[in-house]
Amino acid sequence: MKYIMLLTLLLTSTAFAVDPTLVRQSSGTCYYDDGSVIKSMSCSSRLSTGSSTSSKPNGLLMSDESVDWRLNFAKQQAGAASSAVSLQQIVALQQISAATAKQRAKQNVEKAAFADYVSTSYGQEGDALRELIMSGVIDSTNYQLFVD
Amino acid sequence: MKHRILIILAAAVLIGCSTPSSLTPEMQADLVRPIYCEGASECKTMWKRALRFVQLNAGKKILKANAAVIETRGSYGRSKDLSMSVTKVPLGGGRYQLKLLASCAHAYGTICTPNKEETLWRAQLFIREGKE
Repeated sequence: MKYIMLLTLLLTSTAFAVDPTLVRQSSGTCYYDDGSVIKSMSCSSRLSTGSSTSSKPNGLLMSDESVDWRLNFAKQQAGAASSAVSLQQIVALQQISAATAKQRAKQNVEKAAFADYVSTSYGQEGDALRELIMSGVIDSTNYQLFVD
Repeated sequence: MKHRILIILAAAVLIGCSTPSSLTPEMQADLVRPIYCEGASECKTMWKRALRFVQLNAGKKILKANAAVIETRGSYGRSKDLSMSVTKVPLGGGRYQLKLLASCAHAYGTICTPNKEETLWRAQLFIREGKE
């Protein structure tokens, strides 16, 4: 019994989830979000399985009208979404990128100056630490552990 | 009885897959000999050598170097690159033990790059005596 209920719930929820939803209605034609187009004066909000449609997006059997509508609908959705998000994202990313690059350049100058100081003060031993100073492993807090 | 056969077969496969050590028995004995230092001067000298050795010989870049540990980045996935770490363990009275570890992520540790045992032996020699 438990399994029958579970199976029923699963099947009904799946069927409901894939039902196309009404997107637009004009002059006796109903347009659904899966590309289906129905000639009808009254459009139902969801297109249940088995409805008589004038054109169903059924693999290779899609009508031209249905294909055009699907394409335009997808373009509108994608265009609206991308233009609204990307503009904000581009500005934010440019700002972050510029700030990071500036900070990194400043840190590199400081590290190079410190590496020069260690090299000058401790000769070959100090010079051997240059790579580790530039990579940030060694700085003013720990360099004395590794030079005399 | 079945279990015994399986264990023997597994052992035989593992032994067959492992590469024979490139170290002589004397070198292998050296490898297990702990490294100790005593006093600020000797410990600093050994610590400097440890950093230098890891910097020049490990298969990975150094990630951390402070008064207690020198370690490289880890070896992940199927990497053969040898990662290393040296830890300075206080024993009291100004005496320390330097513990060396080396590993790579590859399934068979014997084919790390550079060779794990050989690198550890060279590290011991360099840290103790400054010899390459």
